[in-house]
Amino acid sequence: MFSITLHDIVSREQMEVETHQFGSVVVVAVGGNVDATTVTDLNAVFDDLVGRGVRNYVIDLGRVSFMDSSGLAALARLYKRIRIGHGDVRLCNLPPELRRVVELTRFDRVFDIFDERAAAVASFAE
Amino acid sequence: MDISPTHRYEVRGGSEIVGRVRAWATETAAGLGADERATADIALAVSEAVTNVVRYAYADRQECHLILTAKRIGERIVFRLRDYGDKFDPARVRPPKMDGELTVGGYGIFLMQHVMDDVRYVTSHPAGTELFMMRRRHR
Repeated sequence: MFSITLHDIVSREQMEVETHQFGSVVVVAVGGNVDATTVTDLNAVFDDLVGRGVRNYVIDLGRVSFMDSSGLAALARLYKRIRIGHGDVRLCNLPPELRRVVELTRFDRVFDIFDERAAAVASFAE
Repeated sequence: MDISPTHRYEVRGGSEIVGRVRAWATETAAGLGADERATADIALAVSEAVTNVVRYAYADRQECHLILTAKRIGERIVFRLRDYGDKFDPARVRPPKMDGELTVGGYGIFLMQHVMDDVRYVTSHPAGTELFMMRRRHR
């Protein structure tokens, strides 16, 4: 699958964000700690992508070592903005602790969740 | 009853204290014998609690002052967080709807209450707020 890198790695306070474009889908790969300190960088990446008109997102959380409700709020904020334009946000590669948080907050009833990135990207073609 | 020595951590600063306090809480919980799940739950609850201190007690100012203590009482681990900012009334934080309609905020206290066995705020101090959180070492 052909990929275009949109952002260099954004890294602050132990969080990393990489973005790659696969056709009309942008994969945002997040790693490290997502909390009140680091989430501003994640929101800035989302804001930039929304500003570029990107509508279809796969958020790959496979390298997240910790995420609290600050990260959930960033996902919810992106989702609400994107749904207005009939886009979608799908999640993949959730570590077990993060999957538990997503289930506790019932985010799994809103977001489609995939075990692998490729399946999440491919789901937009269906 | 078997009671451990009390561990104490005092920190000042802005939002960057969230990660520092979480790292201390994670190490302390593991040192007090919390299993992997309990340690992760304590890290999450402490991160949420400190985030609330930064946002609400100090309105994102760079002058947060927080004193934490932790100890094991039998099978329970108790964390105490004391701040000296504006009083935090947890009742004023609107809980998430959880009805399939996504809300952007309000999940912090909800998560604290679900991953910990007990969460209690003390708002009767002349200044600031005190928070007690308890989690069993194993469930």
